Amino acid sequence: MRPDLLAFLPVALPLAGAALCLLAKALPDRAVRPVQHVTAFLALGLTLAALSLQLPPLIEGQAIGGTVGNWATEVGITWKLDGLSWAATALGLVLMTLAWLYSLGQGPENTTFSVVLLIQTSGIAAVLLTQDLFNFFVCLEILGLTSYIMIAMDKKDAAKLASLTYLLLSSTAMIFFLLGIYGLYRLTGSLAIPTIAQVLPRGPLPPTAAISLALIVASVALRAALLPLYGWLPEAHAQAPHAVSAILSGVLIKTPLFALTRLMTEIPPLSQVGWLLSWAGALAAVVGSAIALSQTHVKRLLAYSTIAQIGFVVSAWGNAVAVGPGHPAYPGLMAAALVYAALHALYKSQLFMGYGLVIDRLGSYDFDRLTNGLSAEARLRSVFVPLLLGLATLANLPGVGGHASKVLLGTVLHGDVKEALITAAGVFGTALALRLSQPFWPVPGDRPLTVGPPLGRWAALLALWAQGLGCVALGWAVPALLQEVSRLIGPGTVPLVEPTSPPELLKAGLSLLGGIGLFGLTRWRPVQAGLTLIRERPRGYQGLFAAFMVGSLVLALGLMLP
Amino acid sequence: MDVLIAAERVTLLLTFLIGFWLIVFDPNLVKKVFGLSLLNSAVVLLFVLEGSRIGDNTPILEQGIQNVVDPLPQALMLTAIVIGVCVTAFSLALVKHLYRAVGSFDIRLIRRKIHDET
Repeated sequence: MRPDLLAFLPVALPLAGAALCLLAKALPDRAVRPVQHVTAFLALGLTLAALSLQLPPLIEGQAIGGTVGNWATEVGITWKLDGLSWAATALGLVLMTLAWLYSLGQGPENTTFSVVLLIQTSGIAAVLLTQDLFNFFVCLEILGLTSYIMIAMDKKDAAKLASLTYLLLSSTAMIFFLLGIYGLYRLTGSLAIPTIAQVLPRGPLPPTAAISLALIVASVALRAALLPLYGWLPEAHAQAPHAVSAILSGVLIKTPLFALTRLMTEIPPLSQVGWLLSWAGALAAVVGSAIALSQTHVKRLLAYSTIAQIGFVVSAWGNAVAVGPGHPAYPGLMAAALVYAALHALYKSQLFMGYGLVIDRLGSYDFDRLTNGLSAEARLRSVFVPLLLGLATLANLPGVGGHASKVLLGTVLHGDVKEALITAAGVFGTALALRLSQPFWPVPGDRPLTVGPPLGRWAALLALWAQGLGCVALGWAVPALLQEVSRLIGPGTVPLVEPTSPPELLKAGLSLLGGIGLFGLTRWRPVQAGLTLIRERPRGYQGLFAAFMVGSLVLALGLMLP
Repeated sequence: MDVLIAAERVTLLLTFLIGFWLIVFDPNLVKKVFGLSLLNSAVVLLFVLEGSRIGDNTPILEQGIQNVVDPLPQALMLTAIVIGVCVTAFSLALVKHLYRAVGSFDIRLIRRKIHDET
């Protein structure tokens, strides 16, 4: 098959599947779901197969590109498939498949869900292929629209409000993105990123170019929930259906980040603000973790933890962008960001899905009302073991992915001040895992054990187990994975990662003790009062937009100053 | 001509700012959606007006046809308009649902009531 046709299969196949799933709604009621399930399964499976066929030339360091329909570059949409876009697409596709599998057992109970999920999968592949600014805008809007729809699929009014808040904030940011496109098109006469890079000066930028690029980067940073642009995320992730929370946390805040890499690495002045974003990431790792610890709502805790974890990813990603593709450290840094993102996607989506089962069975999102869950409801024991793997990953226990991924980040950021922030944020991980485990703590005393109906179909538990075991496997494979993923990205010097070395195990032990101590501290009344203040802090639209304007201004200044 | 161009730009800027103000500061959800629509329209008009100043002839890329209007801004804005319509339609559906649930378009009241219920 022609390489350019093969490159577009991950875009075309899910779209075709979505169209067929939509048409299936015209069938008799009894046939709709089975036909949709088979169609979606085939679409996702064939897309995975197409991805595996794309891999061999990419491992050799070849990238393919062109313009859609072989149109002239001046009017056509330029695209490029390289190792980074392949790896990010593969991550997205695997997570979407696992989330779809979970939804077979746990919902949303909506015949449109498969359609929207497949369109979103297509959007993920498309946004990672494009080298055209306007096409980038269109793909981001596809991802946005499908997200708003999926969040609103939950029956709660809070879900509708969360979806509307996200819609208003994100759509406004995308209008500023359009303004950025206007500025760049006026200056360069092109929408193709390589052409824009050739026309713009390599040093400090003139105000029009700086503001245009700052608006574009800030709009994407909002989608990726970078500090301080994360205000929309907690409610959106907390109120969405559980499968959708898993998708949002696992895939949809990472995809725009990796798609932005192309813009940031091809336009040299933009790469210089990579250090700024890297610092924002390191700070988010601490701030997000601290706010997560203050939450009493299970899914909000997981959402704030996601803000922290995306901070971990960005701390390495920002450094990679800052040094640029020509630097020997670039492949190692970018690969570290990808591997960490993959691990986070696995265990965070598992935690959302698993706690979704607990919440649905016990009927509450509140930690206090969820206590004694394992002892009170026997069926929850089938969830506990796979969830333990996800919690162990969050707690950075050696033997599962969390510890290895922290060692990975510490290694690639070695010597950087941000390494200390990352280490501090790691301590919070243990405290958060202990907090999350509270519903499963046994309570002494004689209590009647209820046995409700089965927790959900086999598909939901299969997804949980696949993710849990994936965390363990990834944890052991981190050193080898770093080498392989770095090869996909390009030639360079890749540091050796040794998660089982005595110094790293000692650090892990100290971090665990620190996390246990921190968790103990949160049980102390004065600290709880402080956490309540953090949790109940006022929020509004003005704050969200102010953060966006401040973020854009700081980026623009960073691009204008020498 | 310069006066006309300046008047167009001032009008666009005012439309943009009014739309932005409505989204950020007005507590009425319907007005927020109006604001988003105004914001979108302002940017679309900006592209179309600025694009119309380049060239005079229909953009048919054939021999002998010169000084064509830049076709790209118009093509881009068709897409942006479609996206804007979809977003507006969906946001109004959400606003309608919230109104039915709470009985008000005021975001402050909606937030308070939903927070109390959860």
